[in-house]
Amino acid sequence: MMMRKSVFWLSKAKKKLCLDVVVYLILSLVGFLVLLPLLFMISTAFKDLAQAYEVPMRWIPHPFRWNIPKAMALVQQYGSGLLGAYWNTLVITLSTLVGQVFSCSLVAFGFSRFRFRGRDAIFFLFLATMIVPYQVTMIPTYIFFSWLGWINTYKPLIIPAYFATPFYVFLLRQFFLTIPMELDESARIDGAGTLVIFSRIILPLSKPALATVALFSFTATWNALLAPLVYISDMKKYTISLVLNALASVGTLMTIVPYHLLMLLSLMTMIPCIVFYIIGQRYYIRGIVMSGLKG
Amino acid sequence: MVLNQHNKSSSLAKREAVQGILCILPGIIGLLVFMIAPIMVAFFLSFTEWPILESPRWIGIANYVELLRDSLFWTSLKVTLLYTLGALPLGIVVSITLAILLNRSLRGITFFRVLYYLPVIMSGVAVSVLWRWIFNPDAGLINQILGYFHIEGPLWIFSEKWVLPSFILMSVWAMGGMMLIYLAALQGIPQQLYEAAEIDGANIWQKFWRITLPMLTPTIFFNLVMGLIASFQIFTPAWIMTQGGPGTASLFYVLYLYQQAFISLRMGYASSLSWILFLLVVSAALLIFKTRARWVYYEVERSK
Repeated sequence: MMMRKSVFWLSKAKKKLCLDVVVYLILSLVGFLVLLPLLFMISTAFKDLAQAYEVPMRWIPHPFRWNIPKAMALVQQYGSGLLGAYWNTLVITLSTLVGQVFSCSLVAFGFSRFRFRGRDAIFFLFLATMIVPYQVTMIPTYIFFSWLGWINTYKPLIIPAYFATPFYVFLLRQFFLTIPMELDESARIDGAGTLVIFSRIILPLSKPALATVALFSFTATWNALLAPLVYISDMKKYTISLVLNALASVGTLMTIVPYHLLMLLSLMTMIPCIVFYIIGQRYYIRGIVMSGLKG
Repeated sequence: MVLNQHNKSSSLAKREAVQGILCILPGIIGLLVFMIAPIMVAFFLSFTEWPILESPRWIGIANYVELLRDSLFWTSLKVTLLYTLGALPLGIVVSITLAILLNRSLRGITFFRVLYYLPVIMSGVAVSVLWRWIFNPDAGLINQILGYFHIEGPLWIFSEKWVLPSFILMSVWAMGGMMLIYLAALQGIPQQLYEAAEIDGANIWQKFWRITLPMLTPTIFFNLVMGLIASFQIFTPAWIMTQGGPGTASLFYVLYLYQQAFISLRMGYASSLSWILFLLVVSAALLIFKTRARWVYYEVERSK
């Protein structure tokens, strides 16, 4: 009987090993497929025009071309050039980030730690507006900003961020709910006011959740096209999205599109997001998971 | 969850209420100014004709009448719906499959999770430009690879037949986010259920259909709603890669809306388009919500 048992064990372990190997293979294949577009982009970015269009393609550029000066020259015609566009985008992205982190945490704080009439109903309404696409409110909002004289400035892109975004409020509220109320209560006994509790207790304890919101906010604003497209017409104020857009649309009229330069520009645009992602991917993933499991 | 549980004094409760409302005030203002007011204004605007340079003219329901007769309106609806019907089910199947594969105690599983989620954070123009290059019929990635196998690849985004599948392919690449949600949901399924099933002699297939899938239905439901809403907002890829072409084969709804508003400068008509969009999205979400009782299992989730 002992012999039978040990043989049974062996085959079960073997089974798991085989399955594990198969799973690894599938996962690696899928992973390779996911990476393929990025590798293609990097490969093209350092070729010259002729080689970019070569069929069959060479994965490793030969000769290797340092295309950055050419890319910058290509962008020079757009007002502030490449560095200027990066700067513009950075200004908008950071201003928006600050606004979203602070307004959303304050609002989440209010929803999670205070009781008042209609609180849950208002929260539900607030969340429900997440289903409304940006394009529904786009036109009246444009007219509103036009009436304020804010067209062709960054204000329409930044100001709304200071009035809370439902998704981030939701994430932060979920997190705040896990912080025990006893902390608030003992602080109040010690004489602390609401703002102090918010800034000295809740916020420091919420760094992971705040990091998540910051990462999402950064990525969303950095990559945004529609809002800048609607509001910014002055080329000097272009964000990198608008620069790439301008190059891409000119490209459709040109017979041969300089994809090698476009790929380099795309790569340069993506790099900050990729870097932040790799550093903070724990937070990204946690944020997605928290939002999906609300059930 | 209340600060003054023991002391029901009304002045303290009132103070708490006031403070709470003050805290959420930015959200309330945002809700009113950037959501509720615009939706109502869009409603009124949809009954006007407003070519921006002049003042709006009231024309009653003429916009809606025109809309119903507008073949481009119907085309854009069709394009958006076709895309959704292609991308959503495929996305759910792929994500769940990957999540099941990833739901093992294997070393290095985190690496794959991080890798699969990477495309999700790369949104916007850069990615769309990249994919336009990938879909290039002459030298793009896909046709180059097909070329290795001596297959002549299609024209992808330059072909009326292949343009929507191209968009769908692009969305599958960015499946990572959905997959992570399913992975987390899978990890929330109690092992006892599977063990009990094994004792009863269930095989892998039965375990999947009778335990895994029902337990995943709340998550599937959530992803359906979010996916539907997202597909009604597809703008950047369409704008960068095809501008609605070839012809009108990829004229996504909001692309058409944008064109009417900011290129044809017909704010009144565009407002009627946006109001229709609003109604469609709300109806779709309500529909899924109302039917969820039929197919969402909550027994385990409630205890969370």
